[in-house]
Formats: sequence, C-alpha cells, structure tokens
Amino acid sequence: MSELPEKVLVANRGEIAVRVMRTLRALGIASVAVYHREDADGRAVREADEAVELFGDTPVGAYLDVPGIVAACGATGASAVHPGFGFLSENASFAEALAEAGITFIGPPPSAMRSMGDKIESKRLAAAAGVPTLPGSPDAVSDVEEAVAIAAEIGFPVLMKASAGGGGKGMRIANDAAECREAFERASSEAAASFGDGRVFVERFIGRPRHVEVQVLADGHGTVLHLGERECSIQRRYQKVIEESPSPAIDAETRAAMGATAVALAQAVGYVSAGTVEMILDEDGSFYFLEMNTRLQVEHPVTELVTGIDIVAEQIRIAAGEPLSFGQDDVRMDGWAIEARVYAEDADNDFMPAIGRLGLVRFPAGEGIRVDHGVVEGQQVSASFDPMIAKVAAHGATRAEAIARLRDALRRTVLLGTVTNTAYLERVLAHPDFAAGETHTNFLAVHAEALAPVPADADVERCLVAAAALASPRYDQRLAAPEPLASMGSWRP
Amino acid sequence: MPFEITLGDGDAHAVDVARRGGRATVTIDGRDYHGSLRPAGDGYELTLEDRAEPLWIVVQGDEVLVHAFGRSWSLSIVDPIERSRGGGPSEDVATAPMPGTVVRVEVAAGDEVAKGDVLLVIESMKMQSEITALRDGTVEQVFLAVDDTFDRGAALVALVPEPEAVEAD
Repeated sequence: MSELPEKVLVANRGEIAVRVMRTLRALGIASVAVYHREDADGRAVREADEAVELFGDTPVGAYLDVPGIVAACGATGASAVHPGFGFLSENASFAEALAEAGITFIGPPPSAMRSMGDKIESKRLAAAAGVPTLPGSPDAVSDVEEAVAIAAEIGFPVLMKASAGGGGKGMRIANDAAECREAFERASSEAAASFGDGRVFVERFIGRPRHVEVQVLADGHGTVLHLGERECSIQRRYQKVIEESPSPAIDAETRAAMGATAVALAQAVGYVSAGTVEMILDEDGSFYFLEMNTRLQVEHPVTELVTGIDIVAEQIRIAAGEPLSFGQDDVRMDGWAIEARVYAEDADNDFMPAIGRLGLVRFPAGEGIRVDHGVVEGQQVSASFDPMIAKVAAHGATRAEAIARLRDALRRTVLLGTVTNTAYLERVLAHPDFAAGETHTNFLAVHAEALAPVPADADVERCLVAAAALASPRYDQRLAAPEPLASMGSWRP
Repeated sequence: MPFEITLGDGDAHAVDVARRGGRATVTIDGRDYHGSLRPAGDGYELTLEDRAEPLWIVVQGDEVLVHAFGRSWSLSIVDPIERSRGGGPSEDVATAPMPGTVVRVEVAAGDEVAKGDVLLVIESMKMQSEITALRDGTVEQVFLAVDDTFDRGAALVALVPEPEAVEAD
C-alpha cells in the first residue's frame, strides 16, 4: 500500500498555490510555500505551514529557480512537489532534477511532458494514436516557399504557428500566398526570438472554431479515465477568459467520442497524472487535436464542480502510486459550471494591465459559488506577475442558472484599489449569444461593440457623486481649517 | 466654495456638503439632496432622498473608489482654488502612458536633452516602448530606477523648468 507524502512543497504562487494547499490540508499533508519577496505577505505564504524565500534576477525568475526549489525541499523535508500551472509545471528537466534528489514530482513522467510539449511531435503522436488532426504540414516547415506550397495544398486560410509556441506567440493567419509569405517570416522570427526555435507549422484555419478540451486522469497502473469536457471558447488573444463544463455544443455521443480519443492519446504516450487534451470543434461537429497540456489547467474548477472530483487530490494519490479508486462509469457530470477569470486590467481601455494597492477586498459566497483567489487586502498588485488575481465560478442545475449565479457573484466581487475586468466579464455573460451557447473563439472580437461599457445614467451618477462627497475628508478638513470662512461652520454639532 | 467631483472621464459636478448630525445635505450642481452614508454589513449604505444603495468605498486622497451597482467606479475630487494655483499639465515632466516596469534609464540629472531624445525605456504587456523628451532642456530628476514598477500617469523624468515658466514670486 502506497502512502501519501507527509509534506508537499508548492512550487507556485497566487491563487493556484492557495488552491493546492487547500487540498493538502484536506488530506492531512503539511504544505511548504516558496515565494519571491514581492509575495512575502501574500495569501499563499499565509496559508502554508512553512515558507521558503526564493531569489531570482526577476520576480518571475524566483519561481523558476530549480536548484533553489530542490534545496527548499531538502531544508523543509518536503518529499514531493506540486508545480501548479505555468512556471515549471511543464518543464521535464525540473521533474528530472527532483527525481535525482529523491523528490516526487506530482505530475506526468518527463518523457510524456517532452513529447507533448513539442507541437509537431505531439501532433504526430496524436495522429498515430488515431486522434483526428487538422490537415497540415506533417513536419516543421523549413522555408517560405515550402510553406506556401503546403498551404495551397491544404487550402486557405491557413494558420502558421511556432513549434515551441504557446499563448498565441508566433501565430499568424494567412488568406492567400502573398499573406502566407509575410506570415511565415513573422511567425518564424517571433518564434526564434521568443523560444529560440524558429520552426513553424502550417495547418488549416477554421473560421468559427470552438475550443473544447477533455480532462484526463491516468494512474500508474494503466487506468486512464476522462472527466468530460470543458469549453473555453471565450478567449482574448488566445488567452482563455471564460470556461464552462459541459460544452453547450456537445451531445453525449460526441462527448464519448472525444473522451475515448483523449484517453487513447494519453495511453499512447504513457501518460500518468492529470492532463488535458485540447481540441478544436468545427461547426459541423468534427473535432481536431490541438495540443495536450501536461499539467493542471487554470480552468480545472469547472470540471471539479460538475463531477465532484478533486483533481489535485487525485494527482497527489496517483503520484504516491495509488490506483484510481473509481471507473469511467462512476464519472457523472451533474449540472453546469462556468468560471470567469478576474484579471487586473482595464477592459474599457484596451485591456491595459492595471496595478495598485488593493484597499478593499470582498469575495462573494453562496450556493453554487466557488472563488479561487490569492489576494489579501492591502496587497500591492504589481506588473511583475500574470494579471490573473482570482477565478470566480458558479455551479447550477442548468446552464441558465449557472450564468445567473456567476453574473450575481461577479457583481458582488469587490476589488477596490486596482482596475479589474469583473464588469466586462458580466457583460460577456449577459450577451444573448452567450446565453444561447453561440460561443466560438472569435466571440469577444466579433461582439466588441456590444460588450463596450455603458455609461452610468444620471441617477447612478448622482448617487456615486454623493457617496464620494460624503466619504471624502475634504469637506471636513475645510470646516476644520482655521480660516474665517471655515470658522463660520460652528453651527455644525 | 464647493469642490468639483468627476466620475471617471465624465463632466465635473460642483458639489458641497452641509452636515447636520448623521444627515447631510449634498448640493450637486445647485440642487439639494438629503442623504447619509452609514456602515452597513461589510460595507456602507448610501441614502439619497428616497433611494438606498449598498456600496463599498475606499478613499485614496482625492480619488474615491466606489463599488456599487455591481461594479467599481473611480471619482476624483478637485479644489478649484488649488487647481488655479497649481497650473495645468506641462512639458516639464514626462509621465507614463501605461503601467509598467523601467527597463533602461538613458539620462541622469544634469544631462542636456533635445526634444525627441530617449529618456528611458519601459516595458508593459511584454512590449518595450521609449519615453522621449517633449522639449529641449536639462534633466532635473529621474524619479525611477531600472526594475521599478509604476502606474499610468506616474512622473518618470522631470526637466528643469524653463525660465519664462517660472513665476515671478
């Protein structure tokens, strides 16, 4: 019988570090936080049983300090590391460095991380495992004329994307041969600059795609299950903004087909732990492999809300060698869950990143509401890290109920001191096309005008002006000032 | 004399407050409204005539941040007398067009610069941009160092004020 670790180090920050620690506490496992000094007073450090400071050339660099994290495990006696997402979560060398030090990496084997981390290699493996892939170049495109020839064969429009890319970097769309030449040069040079790898991949571009992904869980004993899908079509510049489970576009039959496909791929690469197979769903119902993320996803809460399964707990048990305690037939999707990512950004001003001191923080609570956040009142939101500061999610019996609950929860999310996108998120959820499930990855761009802010009406403006006047010490200071006019205010009790 | 209160980028309202116990009369653009602001729940309750609204408030100097009607708002308070003393925006101080981090500082106090010269390089949203001098002059002060972060509108570099801009008194 395998045993769970007694102490786990969480190699991350913010809301995901807090979320992982919540499960550690529930499992009776002690937690160790690592932090850069900017995060010294953050919620993750407060929630952890122990905390170790890391140093780096930049604040982000501290969380990428592999020797520092290995040393922190040694100093605290942590026998396993949960990497969260981002930072070192998909870094195979990090997992190997931990293994060399006798520390368990709570995640997949390095070989699976490597093969799925390369877009070209992962597509080849997916095709070999019987997963539908978009028509495209079988290999890295070496030069511009080859790219044009392949594009003509596939048919325009085509998408160019960096082999080593991510987050939309090194991606370009081309509608004809001339655009293809320009797109190739730009995608390739951007990829070379960002990732040191200028190889570019050409594939068919789908006009109104949905982003649908399948959550898989695999143990070390050969069992691979899927936990249904999440639709993450509401994106801005390839970054997800709103995610839901199930997808409004999928029926039981497609769900089973996508699930079986994702399980087949996980089996083919010897996958262990939680992973996500991302796919593009076309309007005609056909789906194609996009990529596999070999880590916990930001949007995992919606799957947890509908299935009742704690994915982080499963990752920890699997890493300890335990077999999955349930089978595919035990996985049930109950109701509907939607998550909105709260970013410190000014949605009304070209999504400019925002900073500032959070003077007042109030998160909503109530039936079906889940908030994952990593902030404390008084905290400085800086430009040093990712601008996502919280995830607000709602679960309901129906999609309409989940939407209504999430809208209400966002209206009650109070983050004063920096600008956030909560009002924008609520406008997205309120859009009739969203309510109708007409979601695709161009949604935010297509509906930009309808999603613009509505100015306050006269009554609202009067209330706000009056509140500001009554709250401001200005009027009291003036009365207290030792000036002749001010002293005439002596009638004031 | 009333203060001017502005909601976001909107028009300024002339606002005065006269308190009487827990009640107050708020005069907005010449019209009187009876109102109060009292702690309620984990925030406040505003009453204005026959309307009552729950809200949350943070006062940061002359900036008042309010969460009400399901979203946050920013209001600014200006004393028209102070403003008339202070003067308007000038070309003496280069300010940040967006929040970000200082990547490079190209000048130091005492340096002579020409209009268009790069003063410093900032990074925002993973994009670098140059902050340039708005006129010829001498650098008086560089307010930030490499790796410092700043908000939109922050003062970055000041030039020695031009002689004709200096007031006689």
